[in-house]
Amino acid sequence: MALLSSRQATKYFGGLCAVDNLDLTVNEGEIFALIGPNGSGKTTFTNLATGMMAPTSGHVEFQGTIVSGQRPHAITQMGLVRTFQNLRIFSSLTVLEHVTLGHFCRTTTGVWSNILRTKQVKEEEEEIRARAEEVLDFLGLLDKKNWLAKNLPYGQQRLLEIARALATEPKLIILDEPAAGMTMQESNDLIHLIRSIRDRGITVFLIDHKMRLVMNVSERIAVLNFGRKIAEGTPKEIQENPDVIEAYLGKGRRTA
Amino acid sequence: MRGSKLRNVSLVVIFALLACAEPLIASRFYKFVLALAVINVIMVMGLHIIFGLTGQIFMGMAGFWGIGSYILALITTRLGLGFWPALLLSSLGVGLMGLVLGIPTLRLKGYYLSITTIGFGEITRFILMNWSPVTGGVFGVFNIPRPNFGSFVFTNDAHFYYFSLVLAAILAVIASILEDSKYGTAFKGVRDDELAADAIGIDSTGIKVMAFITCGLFVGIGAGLYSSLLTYISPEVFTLEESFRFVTMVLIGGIGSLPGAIVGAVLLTFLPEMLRFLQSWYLAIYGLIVLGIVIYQPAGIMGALQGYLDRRMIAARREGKEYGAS
Repeated sequence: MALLSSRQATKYFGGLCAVDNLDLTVNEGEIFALIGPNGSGKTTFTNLATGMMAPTSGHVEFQGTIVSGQRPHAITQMGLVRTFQNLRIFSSLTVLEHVTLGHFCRTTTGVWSNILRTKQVKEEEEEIRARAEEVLDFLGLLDKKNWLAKNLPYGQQRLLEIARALATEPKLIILDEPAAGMTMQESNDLIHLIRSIRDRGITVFLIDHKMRLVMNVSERIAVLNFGRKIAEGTPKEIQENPDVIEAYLGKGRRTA
Repeated sequence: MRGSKLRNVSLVVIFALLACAEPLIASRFYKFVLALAVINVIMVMGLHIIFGLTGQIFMGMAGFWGIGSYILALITTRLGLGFWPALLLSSLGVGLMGLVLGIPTLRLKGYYLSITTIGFGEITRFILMNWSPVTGGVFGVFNIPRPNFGSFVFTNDAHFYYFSLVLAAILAVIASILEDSKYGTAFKGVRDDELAADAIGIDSTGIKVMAFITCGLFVGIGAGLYSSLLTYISPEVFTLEESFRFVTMVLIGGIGSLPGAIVGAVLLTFLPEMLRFLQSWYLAIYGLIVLGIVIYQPAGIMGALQGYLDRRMIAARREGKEYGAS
């Protein structure tokens, strides 16, 4: 069943077409990857799907509802969450606070009950804390829960961003270059992590350059070049596709 | 000591010191300045929430202060309502102002927001000055009543002082609870990275509006007390310079720290009065002192204290290790 689908989504920046009539369908429960050379429009598409930018024409649907053009927090509340290619960590918050803040949009108590510290508030805080610790444990960050997030090593900051996104209880998570700047070991661990995120019932939309990671983990891949989809298929099909090879490596000189 | 524990201990110490200070001050004038300081403490707690915690540079404090003062003054003198309902209405009125001003302006970021709020403060002052039929224009409002419990009226300045101090302490407890709640974390999240907050499902505009309303509720209470302490108010007090002074209080105390903002408020209420003898040199010296603190101690007074405690803790740990080795 289609969870996320893009229908002729198009985004112009002035005269530059960053995303060109893009049709994509991500099915529920799969690990889908979007790849393409630098500047091919991958992150722009993420911005369209998560409400950070409005499309010039066309739209993006999530569970049958048009989400492009809506406000980002509303889209996250519908169950579509993203991480950022450039880390966006809250510099004054601890690791645990990052994850509890991710749960914020699923909490129900109001301001007055929080100031009066009612029984419901205490129960809610206890529950959020337990859930946050479970998510941190899942990502192997539990022993650093009281660290200030900005003091974590880079690779763990990336994991924390994923933890924070998982805390919003998404149905689909868009990981925008999660392996950027990771060591070989960390990016190997990421393969297991992405699979176990999917095993929790969350559809994964992966954007990355690292072919080893993408080819290993994804079930279906779409390739973008200059904002246009040039190929779609299984990792094997993509690896053998001449258009993809040309986009990545350039055209070979025809020799007689 | 970290975070909320340091804050709570500091708050207890500060309020204890403020409670002891009144009898120790001999001059009637400085007793009055002390009462003003506590009123500024109440108002700066509002600014702490919108500026210190949520990171929005609000330069219209004088506007909130003026509106709150006039609401209490006009309701008690013209409508004949008692002090208590008037204080409640001045708090709610300024809170409502926070909502009305917040919805259109809080989509603006950084300097754009500050410039807009400067405009708001100035517009407020001109309205208070020129809308004579309602506000009394440049002549201001006279005979504003003091608070009362039944027939007991706080005419005595010392009584008024302790009354304000108790209110300030209650509000400090409320501000601390709010800061420790999930909303406090959301305020800080929006301050640190608005886009990231949006991306994890937090309506950052909504959170900012909420912080702005809370700021108004606090400032309204302080402003009402101000009218009542002076029993006479006029519009020329609520200037841009005062808005800057409130922002400076937060900066000097240590941005993001509640006890810091409070210490800043007390300090910046007394400093100008104590420098009066310098006459025309006063502004230059005052400016230099503020500049010195901002340049050499950018984390403010509470930042310096936290740094000192951290260093001591590290030193103590090292000593502990040496004992362990021997």
